[in-house]
Amino acid sequence: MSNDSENRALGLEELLRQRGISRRGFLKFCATAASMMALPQSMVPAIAAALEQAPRPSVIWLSFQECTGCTESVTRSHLPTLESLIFDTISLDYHHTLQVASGEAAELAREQAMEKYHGQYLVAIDGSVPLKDGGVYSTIAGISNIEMVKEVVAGAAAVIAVGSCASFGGLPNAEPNPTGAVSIQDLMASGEIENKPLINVPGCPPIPVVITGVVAHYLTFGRIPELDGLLRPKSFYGDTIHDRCYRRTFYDRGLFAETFDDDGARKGWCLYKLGCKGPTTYNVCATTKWNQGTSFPIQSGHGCIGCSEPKFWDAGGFYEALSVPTSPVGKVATTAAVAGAAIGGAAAWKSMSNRDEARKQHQKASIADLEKES
Amino acid sequence: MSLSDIPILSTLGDDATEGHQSASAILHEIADLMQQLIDSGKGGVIDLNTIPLSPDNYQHLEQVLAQGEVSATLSMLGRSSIIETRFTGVWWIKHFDENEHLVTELIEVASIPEILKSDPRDIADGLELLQQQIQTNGGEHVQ
Repeated sequence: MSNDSENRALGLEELLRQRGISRRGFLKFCATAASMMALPQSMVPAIAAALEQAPRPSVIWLSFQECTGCTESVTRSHLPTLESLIFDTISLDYHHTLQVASGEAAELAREQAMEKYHGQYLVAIDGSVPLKDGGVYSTIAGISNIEMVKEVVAGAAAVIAVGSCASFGGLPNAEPNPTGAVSIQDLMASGEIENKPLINVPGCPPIPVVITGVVAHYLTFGRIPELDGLLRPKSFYGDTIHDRCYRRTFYDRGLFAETFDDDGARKGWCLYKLGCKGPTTYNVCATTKWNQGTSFPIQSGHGCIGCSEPKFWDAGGFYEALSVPTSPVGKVATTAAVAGAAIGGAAAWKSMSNRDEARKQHQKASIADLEKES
Repeated sequence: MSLSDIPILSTLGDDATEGHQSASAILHEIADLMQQLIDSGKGGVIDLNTIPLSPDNYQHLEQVLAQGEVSATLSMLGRSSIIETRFTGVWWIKHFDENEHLVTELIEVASIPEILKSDPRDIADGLELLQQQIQTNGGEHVQ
């Protein structure tokens, strides 16, 4: 434990130096961390400076009404060495799926961490919390989820809601919501649990490096990243899938696949008409991609199902084309920017280098234009 | 077998293909950074992970930039390949992890990439090690 306490006090660079990792290795780590956190590379010196002093926070990970997909995702991250360094520099004091201890010993670890690092620890939560019938539908060690989240969040510095269930209710919250499942944000809004700084990291599951990137951001800067209106980090959820999609150029030219096996599908044209929810879904799948950066659903020939948006399960068929017109651009883009949310035709919003040009292109590609093409 | 072992034929030029818009945007940005480096001595870095590049656009970027005079390998936290493109001052940097997975890919415009420079603290550590070597073994190499 003494080594553990000493390590907590060390900055990351010193910790790495003690392991024989040079400044070059540290800079490589910082460059990768910047990329992982979706921050510009010009931030590397700032990241390096912050990490030189970063303390090692305690993290308590709670899993409620979930499928364990979020944990599966984070453990399958494709940066094992670098992320193991990140996890060496936090202390994951409780995670009932991953930890060795079980039963009373496991709960004791949680209680000890809560007591020792009161007011300083970070809580990551995957899964929604059932409230119906006194919260009996999900319990851990005889403690209902609502009791546990109330107790743990009370002493936390900040909370990360990992996945769509913890962020927005997810599948347990889908109609008819038999367990009365709610999100962490709902619990804070209704006063069921204490209000703490909250970061939503939605996705079913979220992209592995997005989860670790958010943790890394907190570790690096000691504060939560800039968030949108749905409390999602703007660095990862600032653009729609459509904004960053390599098939966007086909959309702009009105070239669409009409079925999954037609000529357009074979040529890799836009999947908008096959129900792609990319235009209304904010995430980084199109650039960060999945499975070690191999691909993402659209690259594999299937439209985005919008899993990182609220109520995605109840938002209509996955194969029904979005019915909301993508114009007028100015109005939609402004609304989306103010609300920070995916509202209807947020397809218009493109935060790349040339927004004006994007707007012009989008104005030409209204729903009416698309209908004319077909 | 890795992905790169699967032969992929890119089709170019057809009106129904996507063109090289993404690659072209990156080339323009590189040109801007080169001009900035000439004018002010300050270049910049482009993170390719943040840009939507189809395999065709990526291939096009590789063909245009191509390999230049200098290449270096960093062996720390996995391999890193640092290659100067045929445009002097434009470096293509690939960071791999210890399992040889590509984790970060950058284009750096600089006289020399930041990561290649020796850090004063590492030089001091090296000096200390060398002095120990000289004192204990008179400079003789001991296995």
